[in-house]
Amino acid sequence: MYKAQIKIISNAQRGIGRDFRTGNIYQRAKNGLKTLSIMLTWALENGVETADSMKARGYGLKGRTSFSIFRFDSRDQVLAASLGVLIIVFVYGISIGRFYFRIYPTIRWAEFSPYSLTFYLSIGIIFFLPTIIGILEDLKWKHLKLEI
Amino acid sequence: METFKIRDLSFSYPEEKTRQLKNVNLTIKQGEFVTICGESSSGKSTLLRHLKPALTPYGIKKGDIFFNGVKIDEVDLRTQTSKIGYVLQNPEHAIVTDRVYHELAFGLESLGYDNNTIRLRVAEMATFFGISNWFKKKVTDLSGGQKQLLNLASIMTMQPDVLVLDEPTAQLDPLAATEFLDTIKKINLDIGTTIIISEHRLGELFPMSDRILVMDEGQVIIDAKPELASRLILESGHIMSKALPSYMNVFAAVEGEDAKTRGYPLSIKASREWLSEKVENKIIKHPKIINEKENDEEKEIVMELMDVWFKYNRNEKDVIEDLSIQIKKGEFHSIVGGNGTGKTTMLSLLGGLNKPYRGKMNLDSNIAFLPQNPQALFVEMTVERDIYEMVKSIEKDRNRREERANEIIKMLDLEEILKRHPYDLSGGEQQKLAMAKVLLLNPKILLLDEPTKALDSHFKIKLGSILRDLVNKGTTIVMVSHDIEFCAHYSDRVSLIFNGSIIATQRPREFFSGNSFYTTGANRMSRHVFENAVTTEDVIVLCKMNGL
Repeated sequence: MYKAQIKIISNAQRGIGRDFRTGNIYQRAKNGLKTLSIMLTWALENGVETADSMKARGYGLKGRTSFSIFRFDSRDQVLAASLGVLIIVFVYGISIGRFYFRIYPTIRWAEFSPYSLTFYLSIGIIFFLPTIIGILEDLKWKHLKLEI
Repeated sequence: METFKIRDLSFSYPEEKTRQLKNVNLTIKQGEFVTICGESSSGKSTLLRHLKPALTPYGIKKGDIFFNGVKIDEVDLRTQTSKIGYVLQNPEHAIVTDRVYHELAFGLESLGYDNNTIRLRVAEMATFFGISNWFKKKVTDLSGGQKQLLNLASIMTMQPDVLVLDEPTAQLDPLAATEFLDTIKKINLDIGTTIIISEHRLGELFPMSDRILVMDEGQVIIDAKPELASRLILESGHIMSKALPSYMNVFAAVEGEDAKTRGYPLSIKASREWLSEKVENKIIKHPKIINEKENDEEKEIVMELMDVWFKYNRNEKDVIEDLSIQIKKGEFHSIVGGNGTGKTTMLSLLGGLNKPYRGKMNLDSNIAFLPQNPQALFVEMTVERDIYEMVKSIEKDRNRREERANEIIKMLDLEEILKRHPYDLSGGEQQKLAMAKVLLLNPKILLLDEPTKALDSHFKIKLGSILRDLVNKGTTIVMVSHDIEFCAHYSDRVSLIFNGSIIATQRPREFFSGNSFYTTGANRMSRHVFENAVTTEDVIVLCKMNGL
């Protein structure tokens, strides 16, 4: 927003023969400062009007709520719940020491066993969740297309 | 039921002797559509701001205002916020959030509604205003007209009883302004909201309004229905008569004394019918104004663009496509055209602010550019210092400085406002000051970008004569404007720009008499009778010549 305004002002100043791109250093600095000063006054003056607009619409009244256009529907609930479960499994895995992976200075990891594999799987799903959802969506579209 | 009742209201700013409002008495009924007109600084804005306590200026106030029967100072902030909607003049500054839907919800959030109610109200208003398509856009991507519509919609979500609008279309182009005013009328008719609006575009508002108030020096001098009000204004010869649509002025001039008994036409249609009636069974001996002598050909060309192409970015669309234009010495050249057709861009090419990527340009170096935003030129605390700031940079001889400054102050009538802060001036006065600074450069060519935006009719006339004066002294003027009436009246040649190139360049009379929509009101009312009348004076002259 301010960038656009500076452009307007510097163009206006160029229009009356004052350009911070030409002239000696002193003049350039002077003209540049002038642009900045106009910018500042302008912004403050506009701020007063914006404040009026906010006041006119009751900003500052007690009990302000906040509106969001996103809804939390059943799909979101399912996703949130499964994420929760996966995270709990993963944290539990760390806490009992069955989940350990180190690549520096040497590569070492906790031994694989069916039991520890659960933990690896849980973190894998968390990591690849966006990809999985994306692939599922694609498959669904292809399927729908075939039906048409 | 009365929405507002104002008793003996007077107001003055602290430390100022003159009163902004003088004993205003007014009653506004529920559901009424009231238009307030008057010159700038006649007290319109001050009166409107008193109707919304949150915006009332600080000062000495006498008298009472009642809102729905309750003293307005005693109305609590919550009721006042939702019930009295106030639309500010500049849409750019009134928007406070970043997304369209959030802006719509802003007022409701303040009032503390829950998400479901807000969702419903926002959806409802978005549908009513046709905003659904740009509901999720960023506010910075909207056009000026869309922004103002959004402002209005974001106030309507609070379901106000009354809408107060202070020159809401001053910053809009004619098409967007008409759309906006139509929406206001729709709100009034469909929802029953009381409308109190101050405006310069009286041609469109007179047929819509239930009542017209004329203000002058802080007093309401006329309060009547549109038909009677137009008669009273024209009869009194008040300065506002110039602001009335041209057909009313023609009617008053032609009918003379008879205008009192006949009803004033309130639309182009009605005035066309009136004119048809007048010429019935009469032979029109003089169907057109004889053109002044053509001497365009002899004038030398001072600036020229030849087959010019321009775009702002390599990957973007061309803004200017294959444009050619010739500016001749000492002419007043107007450029008209719709929004986004490249008018302002073309002017920036002429001013040397941008360079085309193809085509040839012959420019003059002695150019001054008056920007759309006069504020972009103001640097000092008072008008006087601002002028001297400019004088200093161009006049090396100290003794001549005062002379130069006084010259320009006199030429533009700045004496009375010398001590004021540039930002406290009205739109017209700011335009004058900016003009003064630009003229001090003694330019051979003057480029103007929408100089009549936000000016009242009184000042437009003044600006017009200042510009004509300059042209007579040999200055060349190139002006970009939406204001067809102004172009028709004052310019020597008019060019139409469409889709980035110049379609036609003609003298205003030929240009406007050929168009049926893109033309002046005077031409639209008279084109079925006269061939080439484009200004109010033209129509009056032709009527007189034909003995109507």
